[in-house]
Amino acid sequence: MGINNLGYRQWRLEPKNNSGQWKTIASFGISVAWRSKWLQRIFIAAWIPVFVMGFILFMVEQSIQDIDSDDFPANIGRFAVSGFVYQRPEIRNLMELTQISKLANGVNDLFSNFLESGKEELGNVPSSKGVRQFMRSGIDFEVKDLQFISNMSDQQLRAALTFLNNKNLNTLRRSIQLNRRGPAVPRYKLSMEKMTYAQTVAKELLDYDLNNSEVIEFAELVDYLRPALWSEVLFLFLGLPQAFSVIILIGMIAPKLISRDMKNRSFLLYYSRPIAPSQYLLGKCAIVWTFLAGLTTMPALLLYIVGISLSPDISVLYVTWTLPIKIIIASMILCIPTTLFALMLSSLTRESRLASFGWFSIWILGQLGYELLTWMETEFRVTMNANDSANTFSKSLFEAEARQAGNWSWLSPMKTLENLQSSVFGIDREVGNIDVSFLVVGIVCIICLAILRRRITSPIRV
Amino acid sequence: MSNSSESLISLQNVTKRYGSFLALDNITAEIPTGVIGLLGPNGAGKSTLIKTLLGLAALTEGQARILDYNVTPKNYRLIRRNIGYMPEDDCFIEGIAGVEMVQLAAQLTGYPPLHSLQRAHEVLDFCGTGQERYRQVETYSTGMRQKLKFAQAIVHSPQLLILDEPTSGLDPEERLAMLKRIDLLGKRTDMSVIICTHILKDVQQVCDYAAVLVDGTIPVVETVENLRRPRTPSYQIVLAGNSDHFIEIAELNGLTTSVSPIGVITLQSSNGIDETMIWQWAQTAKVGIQSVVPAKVSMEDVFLQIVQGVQSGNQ
Repeated sequence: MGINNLGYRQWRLEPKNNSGQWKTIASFGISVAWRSKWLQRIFIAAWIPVFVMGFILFMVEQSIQDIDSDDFPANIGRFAVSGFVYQRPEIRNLMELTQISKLANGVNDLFSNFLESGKEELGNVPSSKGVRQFMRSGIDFEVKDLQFISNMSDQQLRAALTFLNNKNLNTLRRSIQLNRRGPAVPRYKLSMEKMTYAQTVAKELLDYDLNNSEVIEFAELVDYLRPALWSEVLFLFLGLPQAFSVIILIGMIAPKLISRDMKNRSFLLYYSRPIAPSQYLLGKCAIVWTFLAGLTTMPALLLYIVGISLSPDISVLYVTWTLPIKIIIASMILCIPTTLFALMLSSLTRESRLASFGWFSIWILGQLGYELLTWMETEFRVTMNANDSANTFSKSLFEAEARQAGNWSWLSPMKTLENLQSSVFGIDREVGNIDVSFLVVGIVCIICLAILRRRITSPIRV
Repeated sequence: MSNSSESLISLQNVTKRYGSFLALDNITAEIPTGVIGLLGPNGAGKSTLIKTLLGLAALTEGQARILDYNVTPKNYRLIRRNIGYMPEDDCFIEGIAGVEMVQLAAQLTGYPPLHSLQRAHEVLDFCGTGQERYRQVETYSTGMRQKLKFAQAIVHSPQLLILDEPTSGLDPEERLAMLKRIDLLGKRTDMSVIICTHILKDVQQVCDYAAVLVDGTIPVVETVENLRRPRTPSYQIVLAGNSDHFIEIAELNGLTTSVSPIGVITLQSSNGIDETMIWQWAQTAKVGIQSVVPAKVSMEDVFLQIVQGVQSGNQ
């Protein structure tokens, strides 16, 4: 008998009359899961992208604080941020429209000179900057170009759309004929909506000429784009490295959570206590969500705080205050469906290894299915356009179009979740129909919940 | 101390069906407080009755009342808070140490973590679980798991403790220790205990009452004392010396006698036996009396009589 053995002692402490038992299940589950050395290593490794993204945010802010500096990291930062800015759809579209403006101004000047001097001078005809040039010096817009775009009528915008689409098509053809590296992604393809949005951006940018230099300089442009750029960084963070970590992490934790309880008949121990099946499920979900929040929400919020602390003034808070909310929503989009799906798999078997296998299989097969069907669609598009000389110049164009159309993106869990996150951050990176992505995730969540409910109440549903 | 005059469980026309199978058949019974042995052959409905009382299985018909709570979904939380349940199945929560499992049980009942941990150590001491409490539960032997299940059932000082086969898988020494613990809880605390078991000696040893469940009905709820009392008044006597003369005298006085292989003499008389007469006969026969006790029927015999009685009645 132990020296502390008191025999049996009645316990007079009154239990709390609350519904917090799910927190108990969660805290015990977290402590058990955290004992895995592999989980600890993966968790630490998953934080590495935070530092990379933090460095990018640092460069964004550095690049606009010391715009004339040629020193590192300001120049490197400007180069990198120019890349970010350049690939923003609204800026690309606005740059396209700016060319129309310059062309119109150039033709105007040409006629003026011609009428004044009777000579044909081509010196004022504009030429568009190359990408590398943009990246070296940053991007800027002249106020007169923006004013020109702001004053364009719908009819003029439509005409500009036709002109630019034809021009881009020719550019694309030429570039492909010159064996340019990389697929020809038809991101230049403009729609009327994009033109109208570019016009709105032009109007908004007019307010950003803070020093009245008649030029929206690179720093002012970045200032305007700050919420979008930060969203890009956060999306990049949540979309690629974290999604990968999340898949591995969930695959390590979730499959064991319910299958082991079924195997060891732990339900009898849980349900003989004053807890409801919903609390049990919530507790199990909370285990996964805690780890996922540690991989997604927390680092993303930390990134946001880093961004704020690096910003030149506190007014940044005013334009970026929605980002923390977007981070939380994007994290929920990543965490809720994946957790429910993984737990559903766990509830279907007593062998956690089978649930793990099912989890990874779904991701791999989903991606393979998406790739296979996209490839088939590409072949179909090639075949359909075999006799159309305007569209047969490159298979890569059709492949890019098929990917952009994203008709099969709902098959890939990764693409579907990326679409939803892109939609939340409003960065226009969606492929396919976003409504389909929402629908697929909604249906998956409902089915998973229904199966989970059935499986975890089966020990008491007699 | 237990108060046997109050009703612990009240069943009114309780029926439970699994599809077409009738598990509990219109049971009406009052089960008093104390230590109760719930007996019954395999498939009699013992586990179903327990699950029904815990709210783990819904009643098909009838009304049940336990610890002054009606067994309805609204009261499930209150009922479970006041009941400790030790399942028969080999069940545990994988990945945690024994002490953590007991702590978890206390916390799930609504107690704060630190108090729960302290209490977990206390009950594990009471259950005779030493340093192995820090080992992961899946490494435990069957006997250790039984003790752990017992500990998690009593950790919150329930008003009613339901033990499903508490001594199965235990070696004789551990079995006795477990029965001692149950006896202590039943006799020295306010806790009522229901023991579902096939080991009738356990019931005989620790239970105040026995409820026998046969074919979905409870034909008998009675004190163990009364159940074991023979229909004909009897005494069992062990004599020191030759017993032949003593037996002759007893038979001359109209008693029926029988002698077991180990020499225990059983005296029976439908008219009753005066114990002082036994001492007189022994004096007359010039033999010493080593022991004289009222004879009792074994629980095995009681159980078989009840089961056979019900089953023959059904036929």
